[in-house]
Parts: sequence; C-alpha cells; structure tokens
Amino acid sequence: MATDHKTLQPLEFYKTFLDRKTRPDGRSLLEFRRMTLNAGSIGTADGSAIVKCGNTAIICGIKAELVAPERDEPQKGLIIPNVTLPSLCSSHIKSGPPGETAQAATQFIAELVNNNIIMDLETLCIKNSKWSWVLYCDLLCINLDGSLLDACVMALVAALKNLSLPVVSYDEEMDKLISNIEDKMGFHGIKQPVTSTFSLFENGILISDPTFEEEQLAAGVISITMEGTSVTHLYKPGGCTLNEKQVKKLMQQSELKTKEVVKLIEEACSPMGVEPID
Amino acid sequence: MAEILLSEAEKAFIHHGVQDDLRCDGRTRLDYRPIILETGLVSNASGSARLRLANSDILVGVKVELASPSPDKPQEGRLEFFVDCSANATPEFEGRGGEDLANEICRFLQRSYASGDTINLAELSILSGQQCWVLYVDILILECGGNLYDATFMAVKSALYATQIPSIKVATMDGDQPELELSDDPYDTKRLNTENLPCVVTLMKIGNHYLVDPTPEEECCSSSGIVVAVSGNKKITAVRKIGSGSLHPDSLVSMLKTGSDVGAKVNKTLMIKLLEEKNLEKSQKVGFMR
Amino acid sequence: MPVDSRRLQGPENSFSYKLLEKKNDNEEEAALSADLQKILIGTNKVRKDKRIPSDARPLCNVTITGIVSQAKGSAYIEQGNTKLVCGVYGPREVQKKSDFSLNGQLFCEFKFAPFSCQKRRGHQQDNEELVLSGLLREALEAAVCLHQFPKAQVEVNVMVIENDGSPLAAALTCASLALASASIPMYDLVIGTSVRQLPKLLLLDPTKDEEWEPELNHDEDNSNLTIGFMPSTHQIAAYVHEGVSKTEDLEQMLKLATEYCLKVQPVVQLCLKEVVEKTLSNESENKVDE
Repeated sequence: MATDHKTLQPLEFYKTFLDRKTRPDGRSLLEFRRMTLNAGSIGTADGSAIVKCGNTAIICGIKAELVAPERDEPQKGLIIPNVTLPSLCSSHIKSGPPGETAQAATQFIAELVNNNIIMDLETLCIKNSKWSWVLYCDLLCINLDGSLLDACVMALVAALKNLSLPVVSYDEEMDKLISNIEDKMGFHGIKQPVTSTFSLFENGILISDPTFEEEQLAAGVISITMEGTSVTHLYKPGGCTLNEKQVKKLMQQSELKTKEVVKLIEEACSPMGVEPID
Repeated sequence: MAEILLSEAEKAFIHHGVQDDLRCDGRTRLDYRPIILETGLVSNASGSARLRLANSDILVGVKVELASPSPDKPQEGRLEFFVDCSANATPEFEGRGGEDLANEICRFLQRSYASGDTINLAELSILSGQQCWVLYVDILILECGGNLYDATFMAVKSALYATQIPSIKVATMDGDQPELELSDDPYDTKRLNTENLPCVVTLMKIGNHYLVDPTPEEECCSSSGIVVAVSGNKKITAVRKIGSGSLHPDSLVSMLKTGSDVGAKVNKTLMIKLLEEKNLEKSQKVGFMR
Repeated sequence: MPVDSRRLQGPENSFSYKLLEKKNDNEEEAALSADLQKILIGTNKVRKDKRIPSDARPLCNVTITGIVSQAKGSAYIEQGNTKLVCGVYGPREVQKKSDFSLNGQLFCEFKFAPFSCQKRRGHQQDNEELVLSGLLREALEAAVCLHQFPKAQVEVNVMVIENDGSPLAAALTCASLALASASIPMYDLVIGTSVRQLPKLLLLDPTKDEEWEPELNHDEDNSNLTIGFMPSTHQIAAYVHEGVSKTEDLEQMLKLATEYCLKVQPVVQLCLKEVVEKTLSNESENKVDE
C-alpha cells in the first residue's frame, strides 16, 4: 500500500510525513544525515578526499600543475574546480556532456573559489608574475542523493588540506624553477567554509540536508555557506519565499552543522587523525 | 561490421559447409579470397597502396613529414595512424557510425606496430633530438566486404613498403641551428625495412571449427574470434578477441598457433608480391579502373 | 578540439611539476631501463611490493550494492591500489531509436577519473577509454543472457578512481559483480586478470610500473595480456595481448591467468553470496513488517 501511494502521489505521501514532523528516512525535519570523511586515500592525486553525506558520495582529487599567472592577476594562483556527475551516479543523469546540475554546481564552487572563500589564492603564487600553482580540483560524484553542494564543498576543503606537493622555488639567476622532491609541503590558510542546504515547502516547512527525492518535491532550495559563525555566501535560486525569522532559524542550523563538519575535517586531515571507518 | 540478415536455414548451411571444410565460395577453412594489390597509385603521397580483398577495398596513403622528435624518444621518428571509415563502405558508417570500428582498428595498428621488433623507428631519425621523419599513415576504407583487419594491415604494410623517404643531409652546423639539405634528385630516396611489419590474421569460430578470411555472411554466423598480428619473423605482436562470444582456452591456443602459421605465410607471400610489383614497369600500372 | 563551454578549462600552458624532476634523472633512467627485469625484480625474485612473480594483489574492500544507492546494482573493488566503482542501470528503454535490436543490449562506459593516473586526464572520453569501453562490452556480452531482456538495454558504467595497473582486468571483475547484484541474468561471472611477460619471467597482476608500455619496452618477449575468464563454464570472454611474444609463451601466460581466475572464483562467489543472503533476509523482514 505504502509504495503505491508513494509512486502515485509522491508529494501527498511526503506531506503526511511532514505533518507529523518527521521524514520517510526517519530523520526529524532539521536533522542532518551522517557524514563520513576520508582523506588522502588516492595515491595518484596530489590531494584527495572522499565524503559521504548519507548516500551522497563525492570524491575530490587534486592534480597540481605549474603555470605562468595571468597578466591581470600576477600574484594569484589558480584553482580550477569541476563538478562531474557521471552517468554512474544516478539514473537521472545521461552520459555525455555535463548537464544543468553539474554546470550549476561547478559555477557555485567556482564562485566560492574566486571570492577567496575557500582559500587565499595569493598563497598559490611561487614568484610574482612568473610562476604559480594551478590546482585542478575534480569533484566526482559517485552517488547522487541530494545536497550535492554540501558534500562538494566539504570534499574540496578536505582535499586541499590533504594536499602534499614538492617544494618548488624560483631561481632568479638561472631563471628557472627548482623542485625538491624530498620536501613536501601543503598550503596554509585554507579556510573552513561549510555549506548547508535546506529545502523549502510551500507551507513554510523547512528541512535540512534534503535527499534527491526531497529536492525534487520541494518548492525551493537554499544553500548557506558559513565560516565559523559568519555567513560568507548565500545561494537561493528562486523558488518560494522566506521570511526573516525562517532565515535566522536556518542560520542557527548551519552553525551547528559547521561545527560538526570542521571537527570532522580536522580529525581526518591531521596527521594523527583517526580515519573514519566506512 | 556490415549488418547482414540471414535466415536460420542460411546460417545452418554456412555452418555445415564449415564443418565439411568446404565453404560457400569453394574455399577450405584456411583459404583466403583473391587479393588485388597495387602500390604507388596516389601521386601526391610518399607511398600508397590499394588493396582489394574480394569486396573489401582499402586505400592507404603515407605522407612523410619533418618534425621534431618527442622529448622522451630523441633518437626516433614516429608513425601515426588514422583510420577513416567512409560512409561509402556501408550505410552504417554514416555520420559517426564508423567511428568505433575506426578507433578499434587504429588502436590495434598502434599497438601491433609499437614494438621495436616490427619497425625500426631509429631509421626515421635525422638529427638526434632535433629532426626526424614522421610517417602519417591514412587508411581509407572504401568498401566493406568482410575481414577488414587483414585487409587493412596488408594494405598498410604495402604502403609503407612503397614509401619513398627523400634523402636528406645535415649540412652545416650554423651555431646551434643545423641546416638540412634535401637532395636535388627526386629519385634519390630510400625505402624502409618492412620485412618484419606485422600482418594480421582474423580467425572466426563457427561451430567447432575456425576459419580465416571470413566473408560478411560468415562473420554474421560467428559470435567470436580473434585477430592476431604476426610479425615477419613469426612472432605475435598483438592479439585481441573480437565479437560478443567466448572461447575455450584450448581452442584459443590452437587458434593462436594456426594464426601465427598463417600469418607467417601471408607475410612471406606479400613480400614476394611486393618485390615483383616493384620491379614492374611504370606503364603496367592498372589503377582504379578495372 | 572544440572548446568545452560546459566545464571550466584551466590555462592552456600549464605543466605538471613532475616534469621538473624528470630532467634531473633522465640519464639515470636511460641506464636503468637497459635492464628492466632487474629493476622490477630483485635478485631474490621478489617484486617491489613484496609479492612473488606468480602472486596477485589481493582483492580487498569489495563492496557490492549500496555504494551507488541510485543504481540497480553496483560494486566497488580494490585490487592493490587500483580502485574502481561500477554502477549498473536497467534494463531500460534503448535511448537511441536507431540502435534497435531484438536482443537485449549492453551499453558500457569506461572512464578514468581526471586524477586517477600519473598524468591528468581529460573529462571527455579519449580514444583509449573508448576502446576499453568496447572491450568491456564485448566481454560482458558473452556473459550476460541478452535474450532475457529483448528490446531493452542495460547500462554498465565503470569509473576508475585510481589506476595502478590492470584497470581492464579489475573492471571486468567489478562489472560482473555489479551486474550480478543488479539481478541481471548471466551465464557466469567474468573474472579479469593481467599477466606481464618479461624475458624468462611472468608477472601476474602487474602494477602500473610493471605494465608493458609501448613507448618504453621495444624488445621482444615483452608483453601484456589481459583476459576475462568465466570460471564455471571455462570460457574466455576477453583476450587482449599487446607486445611481442612467441606462441608457446602465450600459452604459458594464458595458463597462469586462468589458474588465478579459478583460484579467485570462490572468493568472488562468497562476496555475492553474502549480498544475496543479506537482501533475502531484509526482504523477509519487510514482509513481517507489513
């Protein structure tokens, strides 16, 4: 009976849950799914992290290369993020060029990067207007089940923290780069942004960390990116409206999640950290 | 490859023929169909060959160009293959339809030519680390009549055999820049050593037997087979299974053995014919019209 | 190549920092590659990762179902450092109408993640990936009962997360597990494995460093073989050989590979058994609930 109701009237089915302040997977309205994080497990990448938020799984791998910085920003390095949703990750994704969801996610991450929300791009510079690092950060979705952005940001930050590169210095006299393979370094000053996604329903009900199904049914979505207790980015692409009180409530929730995620990243990325067992 | 619709009865007929070692066109299992081969047809290419194996028609052109060698192989030239399955060959190749097959053949060519045993790429070097010859091998499939792998490899080998590489001398070292001097005489050319270039044998399994040089109808009857690239000195340089069926290890081993024997024979015959053709008078060329 | 406006492209002229190191030890490398066998194998016949030549890396962390919750079936395996995920969707409607066929169809996509290899890979499928997709499809077609889902297609997506040698072999094992977990009817599991041939020595399940590279090893008796073997039916579903070998050696390599597959079969079956038991017990629990 229950499955019939679900396939025929998914929204109605879902609303009966919401009316009782619960959700089909047993969570309360503002509860997040369990998160796991594993950093540095991919040997071929210079930095990597695997994040699971409930079913959603993202792998971030970073390949670092060297390049002459762009003329208009000689003191900046580059981060090139790309979110890939292969046809593997969901039955709704067709193989071929990236679809709307992937492009939107890539743009979202790129916006965070370009506004120095992820890290200060100037730390990637080796020698002003001569050489800088370019980090190709590929975010690969293995399993798409909602709240893609949350997992992407978390994976990216963890992979950046996990980054280990040879020390490269610029020899001015010889006009060339010298690398030292033995010495490994990471970058300092990687910030701790945490994105929290919420779905909105028409009657003013808010839920956090929506699954793919919930995202499809909801009337709107909002993604809040926070650093500590301050909001650094807010993304609300249309949908239904929110009032001041609701926004405040969401901020409080994001703050809670931020604390948890920061702790998780610190555990996974510190050298003595205990890796969460999957 | 070419999609041919056969009824069950027709399939059974082919099946029985193979079993009795007498195929529909009168061949035994290890016989090839007649082959027509001519080299030097394309005057703008450094070497060319056109090969017709029954209804499979392949044209190969080789262009020789100067380039700088790749940094990890400073003392060697390069070979580059490109396969074009033209829509002329079969309607299925229309648009991007032939791309998969072209890709497969191209990669198989690359891999089987990759070992030093087959072609000595050092022959193509002019000045170590600075200049070398690059051979662009363009393969055009004009008609599809079964057994494309064998036909393509034979045509490529013939075209490389016929390829004339101009003589070039490194004249003066002007500072760091070497000066290359091309011989004035257009007939002052050299040929590659093509003795060991691989030939391919396609073996298709039908029933309990396997056969070489399958016609499109026979390809349709078979679910699996192997293509074996055999170099002039009877060594195997690449193998892959084709088709969607599977093979028993024992039959695979026996197919490999037969493949290498047949391949060596094909190689030998091809070399003899190529030598005969080279000694022919120019006026005896036939061309496409026949 | 056309500009891809749907992804962010990096600067065109960036290069990997590994190139800086390469220049320093280029000479060393040249001296070393003269005796490849000595680098790969010490005098005590032990490989770099402490395996003996006829040892394969253990299959570990085999996770079936749940790794891709959205898919009908999925599997994740690690063979040493080679890690890959496979998701299976369908049977569902054929996307392209022109590809209509009365039998069921398989659609295989083989992709390396951009960060999975030493060199950064592009986002679009390159030729190597296309060829590997084709090989994967041909191998699985031999194992799947295609006639059981006429006019529909099953999609098999393989993503290599880290490539440390023998990716096709691992993909075959992983994909057949994923297909089985998706309850797609099959004749048998396909178990993949690779063998590297060195003069006088065979290495089972080579790592990236041990694999045959056409650019590096030109000599004869150097080759790589990947097979997909169906242990219960004793059939070979995939066979790819690259490099120069004699027929006798190929027989040896095949024997080593099939022996390994037979040894792994119970392990793989056990993994499947656990999954089946788990789903069955879940189902019965659900029934009680209702």
